[in-house]
Amino acid sequence: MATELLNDLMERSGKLTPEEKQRLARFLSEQLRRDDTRAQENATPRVRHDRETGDQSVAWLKAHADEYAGQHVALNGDQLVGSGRTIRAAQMAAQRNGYPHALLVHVPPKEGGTWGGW
Amino acid sequence: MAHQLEFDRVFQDDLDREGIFLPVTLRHGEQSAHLEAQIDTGASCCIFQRDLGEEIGLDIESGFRQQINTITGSFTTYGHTVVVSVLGFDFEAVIYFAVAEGFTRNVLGRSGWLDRVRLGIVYHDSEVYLSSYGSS
Repeated sequence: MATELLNDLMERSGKLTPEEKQRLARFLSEQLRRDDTRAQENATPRVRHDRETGDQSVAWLKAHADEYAGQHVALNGDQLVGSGRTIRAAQMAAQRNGYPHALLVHVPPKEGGTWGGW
Repeated sequence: MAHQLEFDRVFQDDLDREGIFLPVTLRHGEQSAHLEAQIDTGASCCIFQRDLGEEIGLDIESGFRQQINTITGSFTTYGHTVVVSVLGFDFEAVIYFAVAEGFTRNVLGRSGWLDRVRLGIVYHDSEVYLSSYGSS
């Protein structure tokens, strides 16, 4: 059935103008790209997320934001497992401490503020 | 000397809009919300509209309070830990939800998203190339 439909479409597409053929080619190309993206997305494992642990990290931020203002921190729930001036430094510290999957957070600076970007 | 980067995903935004938008899923526990968000390298963090946070079960005002500046003023947000998924790449991050009901922007900013991906943009062709920072 699919082969019949394909043959029919190919035969009918021969009657299109060059401009219409280009539009059709762009449409099919975009469809292929989206299918490919979907297939890749479905093949990627999901990140585990625990609401309680996430809430603990937010509680830690509320309690310690002043102390670590402007720094990047690595958190395991409400436990600080690394920190540094950059996200890389915080992540490496967390890895050294045995927490390769720690939550990485940039603590907003006291001076200069946080910007919305528009 | 030429430099070469490799990316796992390419996304073509064929819509004629002001900005570069990507499909995003926010997850908190078992609840999720789907949206489109604008890439904004000028934004310090990821900011989303309030109702999306409520859709995934967050009590917005229970989060980490943060005032966000713009060139015309400022607005209040609250940070929460959620999973941000873009083109199949998932990251757990603290992202911010605006308090104001009328706030309708959704942006992928530096902290929480840009700091954990490799991003390429060919604006002329409306193409976005993306990989997780940790991928090869």
